[in-house]
Amino acid sequence: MEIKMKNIKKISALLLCLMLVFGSVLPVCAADQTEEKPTWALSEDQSTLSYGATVYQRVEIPSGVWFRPYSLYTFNRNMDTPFDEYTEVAHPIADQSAEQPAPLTDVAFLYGSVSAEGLYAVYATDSGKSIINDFNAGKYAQYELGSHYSSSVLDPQTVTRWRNTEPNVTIFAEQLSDAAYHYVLGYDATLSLAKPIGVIFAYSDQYLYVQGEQCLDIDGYLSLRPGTMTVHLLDEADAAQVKAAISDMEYHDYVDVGEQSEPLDPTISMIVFLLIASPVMFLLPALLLALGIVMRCLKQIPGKKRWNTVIILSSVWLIGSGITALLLIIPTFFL
Amino acid sequence: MFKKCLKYDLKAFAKIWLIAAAVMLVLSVVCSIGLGSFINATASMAVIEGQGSEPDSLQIMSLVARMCIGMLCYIVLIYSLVIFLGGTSIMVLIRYYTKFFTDQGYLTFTLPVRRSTQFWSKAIAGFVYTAASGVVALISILMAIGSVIIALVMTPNAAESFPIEELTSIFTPVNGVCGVIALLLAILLIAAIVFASMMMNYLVITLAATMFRKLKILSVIVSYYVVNNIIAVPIIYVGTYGLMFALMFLAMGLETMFAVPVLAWLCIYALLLLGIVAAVTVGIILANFTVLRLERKLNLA
Repeated sequence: MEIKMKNIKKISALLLCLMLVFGSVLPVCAADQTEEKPTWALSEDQSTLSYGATVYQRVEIPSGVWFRPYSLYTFNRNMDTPFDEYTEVAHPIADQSAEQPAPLTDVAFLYGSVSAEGLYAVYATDSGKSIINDFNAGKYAQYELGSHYSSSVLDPQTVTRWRNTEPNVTIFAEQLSDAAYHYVLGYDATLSLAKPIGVIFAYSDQYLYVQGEQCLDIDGYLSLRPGTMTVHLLDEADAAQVKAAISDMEYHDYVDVGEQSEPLDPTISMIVFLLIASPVMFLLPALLLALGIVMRCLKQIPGKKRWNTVIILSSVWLIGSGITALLLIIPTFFL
Repeated sequence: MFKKCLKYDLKAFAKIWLIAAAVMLVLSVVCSIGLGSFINATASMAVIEGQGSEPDSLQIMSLVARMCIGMLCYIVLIYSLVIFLGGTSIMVLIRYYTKFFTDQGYLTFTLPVRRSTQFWSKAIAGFVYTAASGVVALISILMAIGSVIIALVMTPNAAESFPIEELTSIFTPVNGVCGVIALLLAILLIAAIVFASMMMNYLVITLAATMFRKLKILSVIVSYYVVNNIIAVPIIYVGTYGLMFALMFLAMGLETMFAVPVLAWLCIYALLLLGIVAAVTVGIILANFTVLRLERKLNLA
C-alpha cells in the first residue's frame, strides 16, 4: 500500500512537471500567430485608404493622366472595394531591382490593371500630397519621350526650353496627319503618373514640338484639330537629342515585385513535394528491392549474383531517399 | 574476356561512327559560319533601320543573300543533328539485333563467352557511342551559339538591340563551384537516364525477337513503337505533370533554404544523386531481365 502511494505521488509529480513545462513552452510557439499583419482598408466614401496606422487621403488628379509605373509593390489583390471590377492597391518602390518589399511610401494607387484606364484613384499621406500637388501644378520630376508601350528619358532643361519658347512656325494640322509622332510625358516624383504635355512630330526630316493644348484631347491622346497650329521647330542639337531618344526607346516592363499573399511555409512546401515524390522515392525502390530479393531467392533463375547489384542499389536508393527527405525538411524548421 | 568483347564491339562500329562524327563536325563549322553571317546580316539590317537611314540596293542584295544562306545553314544543321543522333541510336539497336537474333546470332552464341558478357559488351559499347554522339551534338550546338555571339559582337551597335549578355552567360560558370558540380551531376543524370532507356529498348527487342519466330523484324519494330509511343507516352505525360508540381513546391522550399546556400546545394546534390541511382537501378533491372531472356534462348540454326 505504501509503495503504491509512493508511485502515485511520483507519477502525479511527474505529470505536474510536464504540464508546467508544456504550459510555459506552448505560449512561445503561439506568440508568432497572435501578431496580426495589417491589411488595406478603404472607407465607405472612398476618401480614405488605410494600412495599419498609416492613413492615406484621396487626392484628385487632373484628367489626361496616364498610369505608367516603372515598378510597383502590390498589396491586396483581392481587396473588397465599392468598384465593380477587380482592384489592387499598390505603391511604387524607389529601387526597381529590389526583391524585398520597400518601406511604405507616401503615395498609394488603387487600380484595376496596370494601364492608363485602370487607375481609379490616388491616395497620399500628408507628406505625399506635396508630390501630387507638384505634379498637378505641372512641376514634373522627369520627362520622357514615348508612348504607352515604350519611352526614353529626355533632358529636363531641353523640355523646359521647348515649353517656354514661343512657337516659331505656323503649319496646317492636316500636314501632320500622317507624320510619325511621340508624346512628351511629364512624370511625378514616384515615376508612376505621366501626363502628356506635348507631341514631337517627325516631318520632312525635321522635328516639330507642339504644345499639348493644341493637339491633345482631354484624355491626353493626340487629336489634331483642323486649321493652323503654331509649332516649335527644333534646332539641330535638339533634333539630334530627339533622334537619340527615339533609338534608345525601351519597352515598359512593369516590375511587380510583391503580393500580399504570404509565401507558402517552406516546411509545407517540402512536405507537399515529398508527398508527390513519395511513390518514386520510397514505394518504387521498396518494390524493386523486393523484386531483387525474390529473384535472388528463386531457384529457377540462373545468375543469382547479378540480382545482388539490384538489391544493393535499391537499398541505397531507399536509404538515400530517407536521408534526402530529412535533409529537405529538418532545416526548414530552423530557417 | 569481357574486355576483348568490348574492344571488338567498339571497333566494329568505330569506322562508320568516326566518319559520321567528322562529317557532323565539319557541317557544324560550315553551318555555324553561315548562321553567324545570317545573324550579322539581320543585326546590320536592324541597326540600319534603327538609325533611320535607307540601305542601298547592293546592301539589300548582300543582306538578303546572306540571310537565305544563313537560313539554309540553320535547317541543314538541325536536320544533320537529328539524323546523326537518330542514326547512331538506330545503328546501335540494329547491331544488337543482328548480333543476337539473325544468322549472325547463331555464331555469336557459339562463342565460348557467357551470354551476359556478350550482352554487356554490346550494351556498354552502344552506350559509349550514344554518349559520344551526345558530346558531338553538344559541341555542334555550342559552335552555332558561339558563332551567333561572335556575329553580334562584330556588328556595330548590335549590342544595344540584342541580348548578347544573356547569350554569353551560357558559357560562364553557373553560381561558381557549386553550380558546376550541380551541372556535372545533371550531366551524369542525363547519362543514367539514357542508359536506362537503352536497356528498355534492348529488353523490348529481345522479348519481341524471342517471342515471335516469324516476322521478327516487324514484331521488333512494332513492339518498339508500342512501348516507346503508346506505353511510355502516358507515363511520361503523368510523370511530367507530377514532376512539374513537385518541382514547383521544391523550388518554393529551396528558395528559403538559399539563405544558407550550402544547405540548399546539398539538397540539390542529394536529389541529383538519387536520380542517378534510380535510373541506374532501373537500367540494371531491365538489363538483368534481358540477359535472363537471352540465356533462355535456344541456339537453333
